[in-house]
Amino acid sequence: MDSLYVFVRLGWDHILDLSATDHLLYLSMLAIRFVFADLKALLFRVSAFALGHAATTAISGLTGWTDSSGWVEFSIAASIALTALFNLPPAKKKTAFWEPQTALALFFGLVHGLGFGSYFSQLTASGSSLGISLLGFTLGIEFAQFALVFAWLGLWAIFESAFGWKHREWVLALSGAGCAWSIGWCIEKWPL
Amino acid sequence: MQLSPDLRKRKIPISTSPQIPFFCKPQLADAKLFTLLILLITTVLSPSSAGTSEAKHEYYIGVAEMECVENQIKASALFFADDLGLALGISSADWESPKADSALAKYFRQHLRFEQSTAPTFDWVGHEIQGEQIRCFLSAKSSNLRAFAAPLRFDILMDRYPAQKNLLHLRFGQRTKSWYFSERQRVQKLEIP
Repeated sequence: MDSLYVFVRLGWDHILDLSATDHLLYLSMLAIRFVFADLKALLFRVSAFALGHAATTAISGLTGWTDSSGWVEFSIAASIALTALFNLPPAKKKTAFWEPQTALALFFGLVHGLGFGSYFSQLTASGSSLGISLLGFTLGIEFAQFALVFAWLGLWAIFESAFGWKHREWVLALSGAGCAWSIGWCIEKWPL
Repeated sequence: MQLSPDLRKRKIPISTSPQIPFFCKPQLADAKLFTLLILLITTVLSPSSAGTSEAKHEYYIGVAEMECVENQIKASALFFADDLGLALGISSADWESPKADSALAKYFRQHLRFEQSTAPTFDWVGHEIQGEQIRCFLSAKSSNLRAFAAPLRFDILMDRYPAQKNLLHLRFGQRTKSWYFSERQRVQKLEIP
């Protein structure tokens, strides 16, 4: 089996795994605000997250940096709460590619990547390229994110057509639940 | 029906849109719904009140490297010590004891092995603690490792942690091949061309 494929699988499972609650919840909070008409903007935002994740995974993988203070764990929880809070203002009719939330998705990707990076270099075969492993891992993350995003958009389309829900109610209810969950984490993971 | 003169004089406001009380204006009502949900779910469902700690993304990943040198396969496997300790009932203070070494040897014999009678068997070499991880060393001898193919079981920690994923990198000469083991794929066919 090719090393690239192995790391694609690892990246895929890194997101779509029940133990990956932080990723699942963050991406869900990011996706629920969107509808199929805004798909490109959503995929762009999700890709910004993957790019940030790859950057810090590479940096901490190469330097061996680990967070012992607990601020990374807290920041991951806070990023989910903040993303949920950003869903509170009513959505625009058409979401632009470049919005402050896109930069935030990139920043949150940087934070989430720090949580895993230090172990990444150990997973690569000695003498093999870290770049290939990282490329495979990032592709796996990207594919998994796209799958999750499509699942949310599809779920919304079903709810809209079957129950006639308003999108605003859908966004607020799910954002409220996600925000509450992550606030619980923030309290639990407060590092001081 | 005849209305009284008082009622006829009274001006009744006619509005084309329904009057919404200030506390029910859409955005404010949204904010109230949002806040209510936050309070409700934080109290009832949040991880801290449920007594679980899922905020940290736990990584259940192990990695093994094997190298074919002449007629020998030299293997080293890296796992988190606390995960292995929980699976084997060994506390962190006991890792250096001979009891821990024999428990690890027995565990690896069961969970890292070729599932073919003619395939080589891994012999336990030893282990060392590396920070919060543990590295285990094994070796296997075979009369012929050329054009070798056999199913390998590598399901260490998968019984305890269903999310456990194990990577295997096999080096022979300048080439490296990799395999991915998960709960659904505990056995993979290893091929050395």
